[in-house]
Amino acid sequence: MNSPAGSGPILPLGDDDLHAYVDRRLSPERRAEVERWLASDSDAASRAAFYARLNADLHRSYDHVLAEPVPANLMPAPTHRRRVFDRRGPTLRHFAVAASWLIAGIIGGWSTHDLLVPPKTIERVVEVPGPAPTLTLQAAAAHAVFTPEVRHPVEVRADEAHLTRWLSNRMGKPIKAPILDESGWRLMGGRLLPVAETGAAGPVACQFMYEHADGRRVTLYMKSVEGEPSAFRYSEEREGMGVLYWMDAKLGYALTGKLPKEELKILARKVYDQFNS
Amino acid sequence: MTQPEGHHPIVDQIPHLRRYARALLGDRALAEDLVQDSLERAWSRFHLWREGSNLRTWLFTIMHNLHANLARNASRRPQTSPLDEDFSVPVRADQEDRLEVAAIESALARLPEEQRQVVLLVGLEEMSYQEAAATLDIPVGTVMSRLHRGRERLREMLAGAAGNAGGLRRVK
Repeated sequence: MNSPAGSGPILPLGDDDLHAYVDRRLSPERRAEVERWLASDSDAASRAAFYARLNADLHRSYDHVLAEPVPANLMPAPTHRRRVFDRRGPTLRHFAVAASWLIAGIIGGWSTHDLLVPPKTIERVVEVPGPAPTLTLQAAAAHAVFTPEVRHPVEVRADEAHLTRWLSNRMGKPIKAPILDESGWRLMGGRLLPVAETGAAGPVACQFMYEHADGRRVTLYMKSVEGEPSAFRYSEEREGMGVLYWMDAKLGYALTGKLPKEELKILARKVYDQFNS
Repeated sequence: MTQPEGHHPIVDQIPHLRRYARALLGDRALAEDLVQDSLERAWSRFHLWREGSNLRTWLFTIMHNLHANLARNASRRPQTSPLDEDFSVPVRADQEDRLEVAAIESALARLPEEQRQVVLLVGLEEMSYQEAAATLDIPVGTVMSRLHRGRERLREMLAGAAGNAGGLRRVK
């Protein structure tokens, strides 16, 4: 560094100073030092000139976007608006959801008691060797297809009242969307899916998707199965993607996500409890 | 509604999110989709925003994370052309005092995304280095090195556009 004669710089001047100079992030004292440097170093001066012109040209290229009218679809939806402006909103909403669950649970429990055969050994998590059953393959495929979606991760959003009614009708049996908010997983919504084999209500399966505040997503996949209720089982379908699955008398469940097995197990337990409460 | 929408602090940031997304993605439709998705997330999570913290970096972080998720999951998508040693962007040489818009866009598109983000957050959105670091969740030192590499790479790429301005020669 050629430090100019007279008042030498307190700290050596470097690239960071050039950037901070054009970005106007320097103290007046430091700024003066940099200007003395630039006066004596033409290479540094031309680089600083380029950086400054680049900033100006970025504005020239993109500032017109600032003036574009904001489309209505970027403004809050009515439901969001209410929550945005009333910070008590979520509490009241959760209360309402809880109440509706209570009612749904009572009705559902009455009409579905034959489904509620619990796994015999719920705490056991079994590593399944060899080719995984179709339930986990399908669940993993559906997970991989839909969780990356930004625009259409779900077909029907969680705040639409007919979500579970619709899926129950199509699946031919009562379907619940478990609430996992306490564990940090928010229900986004659900979708209907085709399967190759035909169950009691046709070739259908369904999927609920949940999202964590950090952006991770898990899915709960359900389809009709014939057979014995099973314990929790675990299968790693693809790199880092675990599937925890189990069966009751009429449905197979597969909880899929890029989560540690223990975390999946805790969530699966909550799902199981909610289907059987 | 209790308040006119125009007074909500998020609304004031929408034009900035759109401008940044447009420059980052280089595609109007993709940018609008990303902004819309980011805002949907922001509106529904506004109760999670800590009052007094930086709303702008909060919003830009949401957008950054969404975009990163997309990019990760779309690795099958053809990538922008890999960077080689020798890549000059053909530009007309009749503009001496500014780089042409098309040349800027083209050069930005060839920049590694991590450098493009920093160059735009700092140069276009005029974030402080600390704000850019918070937005991208990286140390300030990393912001500085990405900023330097990004601007230097752009300088190489745009050397042709700079014509014969002093010192803006191609650096090999």
